[in-house]
Amino acid sequence: MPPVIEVRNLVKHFGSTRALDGLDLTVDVGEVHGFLGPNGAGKTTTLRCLLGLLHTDSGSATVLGLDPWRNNVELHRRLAYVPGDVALWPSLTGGEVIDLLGRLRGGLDPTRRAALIARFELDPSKKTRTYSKGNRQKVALIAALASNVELLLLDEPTSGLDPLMERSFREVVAEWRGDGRSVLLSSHILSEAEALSDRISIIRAGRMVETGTLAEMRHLTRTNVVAQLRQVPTGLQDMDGVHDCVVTGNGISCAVEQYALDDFVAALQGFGIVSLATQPPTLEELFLSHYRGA
Amino acid sequence: MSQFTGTRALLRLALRRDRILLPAWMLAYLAYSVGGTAAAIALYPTMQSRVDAASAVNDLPAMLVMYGRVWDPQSLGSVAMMKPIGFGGIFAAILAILLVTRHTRTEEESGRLEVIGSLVVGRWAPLAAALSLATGVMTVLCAVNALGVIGTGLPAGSAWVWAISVSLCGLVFAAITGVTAQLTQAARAANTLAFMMLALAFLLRGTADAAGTPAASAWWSWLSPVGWQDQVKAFAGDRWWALLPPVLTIALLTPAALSLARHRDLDAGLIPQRSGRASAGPGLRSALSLSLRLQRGLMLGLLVSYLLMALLLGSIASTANRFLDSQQMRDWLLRSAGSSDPFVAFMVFEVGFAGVLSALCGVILARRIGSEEQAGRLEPLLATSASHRRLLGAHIVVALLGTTLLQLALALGFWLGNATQSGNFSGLPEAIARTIVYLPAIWVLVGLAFAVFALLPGQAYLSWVAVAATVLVSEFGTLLSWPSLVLDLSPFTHVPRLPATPMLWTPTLWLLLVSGGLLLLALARFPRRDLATP
Ligand SMILES: Nc1ncnc2c1ncn2[C@@H]1O[C@H](COP(=O)(O)OP(=O)(O)OP(=O)(O)O)[C@@H](O)[C@H]1O
Ligand SMILES: [Mg+2]
Repeated sequence: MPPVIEVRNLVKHFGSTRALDGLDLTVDVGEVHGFLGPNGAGKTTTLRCLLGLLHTDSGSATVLGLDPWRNNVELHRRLAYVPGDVALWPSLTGGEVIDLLGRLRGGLDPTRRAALIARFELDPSKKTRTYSKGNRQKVALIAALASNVELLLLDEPTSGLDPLMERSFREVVAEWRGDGRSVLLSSHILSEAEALSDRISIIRAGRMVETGTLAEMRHLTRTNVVAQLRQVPTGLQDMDGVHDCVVTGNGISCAVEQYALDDFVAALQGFGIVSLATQPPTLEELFLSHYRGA
Repeated sequence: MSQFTGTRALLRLALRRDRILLPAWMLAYLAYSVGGTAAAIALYPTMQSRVDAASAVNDLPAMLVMYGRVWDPQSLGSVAMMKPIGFGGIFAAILAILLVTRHTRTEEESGRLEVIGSLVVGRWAPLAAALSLATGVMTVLCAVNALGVIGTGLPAGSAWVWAISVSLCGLVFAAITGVTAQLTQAARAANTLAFMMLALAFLLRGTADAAGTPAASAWWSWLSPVGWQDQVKAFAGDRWWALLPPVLTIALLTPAALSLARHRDLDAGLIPQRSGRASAGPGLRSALSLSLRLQRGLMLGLLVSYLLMALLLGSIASTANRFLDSQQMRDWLLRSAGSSDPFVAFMVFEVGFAGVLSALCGVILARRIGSEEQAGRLEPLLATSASHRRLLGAHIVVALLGTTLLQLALALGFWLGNATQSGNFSGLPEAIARTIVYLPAIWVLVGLAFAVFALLPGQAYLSWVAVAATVLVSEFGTLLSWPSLVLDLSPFTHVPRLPATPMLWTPTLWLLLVSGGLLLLALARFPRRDLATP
């Protein structure tokens, strides 16, 4: 089956800013795809290009088999989008906005609408002017999740939601995704991306730096090793794939690349191992290393 | 005093944000007041020419309503400054209203004031800064106005009393807006309330002059801040004491606004919010129904104001025949309105004036989609199956429909006001034809506003520049005998002035063609540009 979203070498300039710099991205049918990256990396810009709201300079993007710029209307019938900054019409009520957006998208399921409103504990009869940030976010989420579409594009959908609502959101997305429906989820919350996503892409400065399942990504990273030895270790710092070495007396701690682990442990044995502790990298470290550009 | 802390910093911020707007506006104002006066002085070299020009206003209720009475037909200043005296205070008030709302309610609505409110800034600081800004601007305006008019050779004392009365009128409306900005939550509503007060003040002054005697206006002029500006009788006696009512009003309203500001929450109005429907009614299902819903409040307000204004003017129109006495008057009317029949001339003047006003309203309706884009509210809509064209089309329909309704209300009001006075109920179709014939010209400016939105979204001010230029041409163009090339630039120059002139189809079709072309251009180009983000 062809992927739901296929982006090849996408470039987008804003004046002299190169917001997207040859981005590649693939989202497969039925998957929840986590989309991560530091502030200003180009996540929102990517989503807007995928919606056909921005004209791209070069490269190609296909969403649900369609060109988002040319077939935007046809495409929008089949997807729902939750923007990062939800701006609503202050004089309409939350319920009116949900219905309006749903109808403009081509209809929404009334029972799902009612169930979602109950689940997110939203009062739909209030004017959106009086809503808190989290409640505005809920309006956009309910409007998107209650519609009958194949693809969800979510830009930091849980910003402003309390932990309880965040959990509801995860449950709802988990239920929603069945039947070959797909989600592209931009987020800064690692635990959320970890819990929901089948695959994850990390972008920085408008370029894809890493993509794959979490398990695959873990493989790509370093293992922290702390060892006590019989002799003072020497020469280990200079080994290929060994970083951040700190030697204190007979002790050593360092970060070792996946491919160098075998050689490194063998080298340790040469100094006589008293104790050895290894720690797989936390996800946090994984992301931080990518975000910093390490 | 601590509630005023931070006022100075906010004032500096406001000056920084308005560093282009304020000088540009000031220049445009001077072009109108000083430039207009300098040019007009040359038109009235002899006493007879002044008396003639003055009677063209004083003998016609329509002109009295618009410009107010020329209090001394023999005074050069009184005659040459007829328009700056009539409209000077109103233009100052418009700027004051926009400035105060812009730096109080708009900031609050956008959430920027929340950031500021968390700093070392007192509760009164934003309002105090906005009012100080208005005071500063009006003070500078007063000085340049007075010095400019003195520079044209008119008497200094009168120039000062006029300039002060104009700036005080602006400041009264700054204080009024300080109050309305506390009452409502939405900046748009605060502006609307203040502008309605201004319209009311203008109508009070106008009708009081039309109903008054050559020596004094009717008493209700004294209820109106615009009336106070008229009552100083600059260049015709210089009644300095008439500056007292605005000063007192400012002294009363400013503490009232501050006390209201103190007793309300951030982001709240004093008029509380009610709950609404939990689900949308069956009507709210398209881009068109949404834009109708968003603009219906404004439209209703405008329609009611138009109907009232037209009723009033229509009932005065039937008295127009009384005043025709001299051959000069007939000549003057023939030249400037195309007919020497005072009733017909009255219609031509009023309908022409209202036509330009409708164009302004049309541009306000057309600009709505731009402010929706700025607020980020087009993004969720365009992510649904509503296309760019449909969305823009919806706003175009509302603007075209809105201006049509305004012109119809105008016709209906004129006809009804005149019919109830004269007892003659025929002529409704003719009344409608007279106002409808302005629509193509109005739509040219509306089309231009949409084209600017689609092609130059960052240059929204161009639509207002076009409106301002149109106002200048229709106010001064024929009076100062500007070259016809300049006059022809205004779409209103090409409108047949029914019933003074016969219907002219060629220019009307051209105007329709131009406005249609601009709208099509907008529809063609909007889908091809990036959506702007807040
Ligand atoms: N309309 C615009 N005009 C000019 N520059 C823009 C515009 N929109 C985005 N940019 C720039 O493009 C780059 C990418 O921005 P984008 O909003 O896509 O980042 P992001 O990954 O969504 O960041 P965040 O995590 O903060 O939401 C930034 O450098 C931003 O300044
Ligand atoms: Mg973003």
